[in-house]
Amino acid sequence: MTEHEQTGIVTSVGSLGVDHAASFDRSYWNRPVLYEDPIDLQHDWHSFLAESLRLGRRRAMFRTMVAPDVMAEIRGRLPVEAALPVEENFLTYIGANAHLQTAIRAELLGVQPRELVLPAGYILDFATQDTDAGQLFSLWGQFGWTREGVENMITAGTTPIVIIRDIEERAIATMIAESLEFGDQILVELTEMAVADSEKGHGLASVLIRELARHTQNYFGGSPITYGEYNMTTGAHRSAMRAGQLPANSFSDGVLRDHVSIETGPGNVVSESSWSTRWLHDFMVLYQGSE
Amino acid sequence: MNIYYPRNHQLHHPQTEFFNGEMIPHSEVPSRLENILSALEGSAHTLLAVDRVTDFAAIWHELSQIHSPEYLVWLWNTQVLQAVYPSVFSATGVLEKTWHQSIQWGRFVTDIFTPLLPHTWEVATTTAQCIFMATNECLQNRTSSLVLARPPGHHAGRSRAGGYCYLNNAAFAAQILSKSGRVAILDVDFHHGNGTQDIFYDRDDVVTCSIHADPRRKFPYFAGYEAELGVGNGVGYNRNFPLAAGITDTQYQPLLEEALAWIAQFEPKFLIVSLGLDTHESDPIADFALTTGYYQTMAKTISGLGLPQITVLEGGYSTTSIGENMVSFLGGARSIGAKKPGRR
Repeated sequence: MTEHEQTGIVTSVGSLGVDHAASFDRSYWNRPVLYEDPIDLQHDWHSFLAESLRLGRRRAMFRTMVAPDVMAEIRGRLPVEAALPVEENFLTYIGANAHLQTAIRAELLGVQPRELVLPAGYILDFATQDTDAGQLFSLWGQFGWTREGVENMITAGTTPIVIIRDIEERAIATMIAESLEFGDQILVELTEMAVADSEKGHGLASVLIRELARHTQNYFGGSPITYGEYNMTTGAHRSAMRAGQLPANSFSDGVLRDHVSIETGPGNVVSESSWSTRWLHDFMVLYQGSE
Repeated sequence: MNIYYPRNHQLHHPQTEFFNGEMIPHSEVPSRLENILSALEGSAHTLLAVDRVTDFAAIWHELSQIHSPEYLVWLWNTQVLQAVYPSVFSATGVLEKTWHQSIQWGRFVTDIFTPLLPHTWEVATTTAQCIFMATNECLQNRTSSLVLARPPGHHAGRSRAGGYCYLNNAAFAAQILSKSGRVAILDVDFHHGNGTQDIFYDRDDVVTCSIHADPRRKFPYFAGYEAELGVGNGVGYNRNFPLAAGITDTQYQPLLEEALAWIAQFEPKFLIVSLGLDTHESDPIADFALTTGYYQTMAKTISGLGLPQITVLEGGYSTTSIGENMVSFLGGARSIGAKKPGRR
């Protein structure tokens, strides 16, 4: 039984190594090495992809570090979906789907960062209360969380979290951070961003992203690589841009194609397939630049 | 008869090819298939347009039995490239790991007229889906069908694209059917089915036989000779009939009968026909002299084997006569696994 199956806590950042049984019919390989030769990178990607395809997986996703001169070589040769700068190198997403594009393509026009102010009547909080379980479950159920999983997360108290509460102190918007040691770097993924339907339209999503990014800088110390993978169907990527995050689009458009299935937003193309492609969405990778 | 074809085939549209020092319009173009579809309008056959791959895992598994995984992944990855026309090739086959694109392309392609286009993989695998559906139909009902394949496949070998071919459609069908009994592949394209021969050269569960232009004078030049009989377990299970230019209906017919008699001795359970209509007298890149009416005779003769049969379109480059030639062939094939009239 996996940790997820034991606790019900949903994770996004993944673990190191090859996982051909990742969620949403994906193969995932987090490999914290630096590639300085395109042949080695191509070989490893091809081997990983071949095994993923042999196993009938829907999507293969390879995340690793790539030297800048190698990035220039593989551009247009390997399916780089996103790349974000880490010192002089790049944390690179190489990904591909076995099926044709399903998600509705969202526009890639950027929005400018803006001064974010928490509107009056809302309270910012970085800690959970036992009474939050029901409300957090109502926000995260769409991501596959169970009530028990939420309760376990609150009890553990180890997950960096930002919560926006209303005047009655109910959690009406939230987001958490997960971390992964990636070689000598720490990856911090901002994830599970959710705003209650009744509270949308007040810019709360951008506040969540900005505040959690700041909070994690203090929480983890040093210079973690802070990023998020934002649902483009719901426009979450634009919220991240308003919060000042930067698209990981140095060598591609920064979009993870048909990355994850979430039952939100308009329905995508329904294709007859052995995979579940009904609610797949594109996600844009954005990262926290130095302030 | 059910006739399968990839609805998206027009996405694979090579514009030009370089031949004998000249850049000329490419011969393997979408209008080939469109001409056939037009000719079949109103026919009693059931035209089944296949939109996309829906059985990817199963198809990938079977393709991996006839093509090397290394080749398949490379081909799959060409989706991210712009149009690529390989131009330099290895004469020795000895290649070291290298990053240079020309070497990588030359490693997996045999000639300069088989470009890798952004939609090549998508269309080729949709054609594979057509084959997959036709073989399922064949296994379930023992009925015969036709696959209007684009791009064609019989020059695609285990690890090489070439001759306008990327995935070997006929070999793919044979691979699937071979689990249920011996399969024979009869290749009646103008050009030798060198890819098909390469794939099954050491196997005795798939018999391969090709009637074609003598490779001493026509593509693929380096395969298709009488002396090529198979290796290992495959010795005696491959046969080639190289022919001179100008072959007529009456000259072709006894050779076809001889080929079928040779196939029959192996008592196959299924027959795959690699049908090239470039044997027609009007074909712009070939030099046989078969007539439109003969294709009906050809089909009737082949059906004499009495086997469930999947016919796979290979070559045929006269975009004005390929349709009527296919109609003629189907006129002779109609009695095989005939079903009630269908609709488009």
